[in-house]
Amino acid sequence: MKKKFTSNLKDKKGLPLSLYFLDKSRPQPAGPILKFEKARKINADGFELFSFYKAISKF
Amino acid sequence: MKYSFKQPDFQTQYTIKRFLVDEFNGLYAYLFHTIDRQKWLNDPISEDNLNKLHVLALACKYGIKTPFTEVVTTKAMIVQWLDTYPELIVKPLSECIFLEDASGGQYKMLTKTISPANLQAVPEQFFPSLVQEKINKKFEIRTVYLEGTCYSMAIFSQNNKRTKDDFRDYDTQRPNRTVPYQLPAELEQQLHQLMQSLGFRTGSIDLMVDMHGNYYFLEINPAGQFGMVSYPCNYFLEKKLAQALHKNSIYEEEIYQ
Repeated sequence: MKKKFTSNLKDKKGLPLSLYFLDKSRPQPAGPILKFEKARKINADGFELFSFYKAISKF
Repeated sequence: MKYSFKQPDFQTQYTIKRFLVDEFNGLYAYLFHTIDRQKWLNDPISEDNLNKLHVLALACKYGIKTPFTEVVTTKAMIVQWLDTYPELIVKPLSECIFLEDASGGQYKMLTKTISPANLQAVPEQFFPSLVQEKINKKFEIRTVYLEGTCYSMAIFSQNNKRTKDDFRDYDTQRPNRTVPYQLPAELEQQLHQLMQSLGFRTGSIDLMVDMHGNYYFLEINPAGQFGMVSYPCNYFLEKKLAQALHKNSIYEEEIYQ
């Protein structure tokens, strides 16, 4: 079972709900681009297209 | 800056902390205002004041489907809603945060599922919090809206245990499949109305599609990253953004001539 953030607190009353569900994150290596390849054709605007394999990140 | 109290005093400590944050924001907001208007697509003050609940209410007003949303303060209310919806999710009313504990453990706030099984750790009463019906999703959609056009990407996060609840719990070894996606014209029009009513010329919109093909609106990130949609989908958004900003500067030149 993953460690809860609230286990670090002495007093844990009346917090926002999301803090009670906050678990310790699993360490993940920073992901390089796994694969990057050029497509054979260009698009209608004349741009080269690439296939891009990477964990997308919002942060 | 370093300060500490000779005697612990929660109220004064809180007031000082708020004062320091407000002082910082007073300066920070002014620095943003000094940047030329032509370098902005959205108004920075509107961006900072965006409210998740207000945006959800506006989306409903324009006929866009949203998950059932409620602000709750008691466990009893959650138990009651779990009678209607098999699972709920919890997410912050503001923004997700990252925390670290004394031993260096990292905690990344993500959308979490609430079920009868994991309610034990929750006290009877808590701070007003946002809960939503959990949508059994087929896939997620991230749309970059730019000057009336939607550039969408489908994210197949459902088949990976890790990304099932929130694709931001990234699996770097087995990334989610992402493909360009065309939203229905009616939904694009509704999103356009929503963005116009907020005064946004750009923003990233999070959507979800359920197993029956219904589209659900989740939220808008007015300063959302466009690269995560542009690169995998070959949308060349960096060029389109540059063109939009260039148009701004031409317009400014014209009105000041």
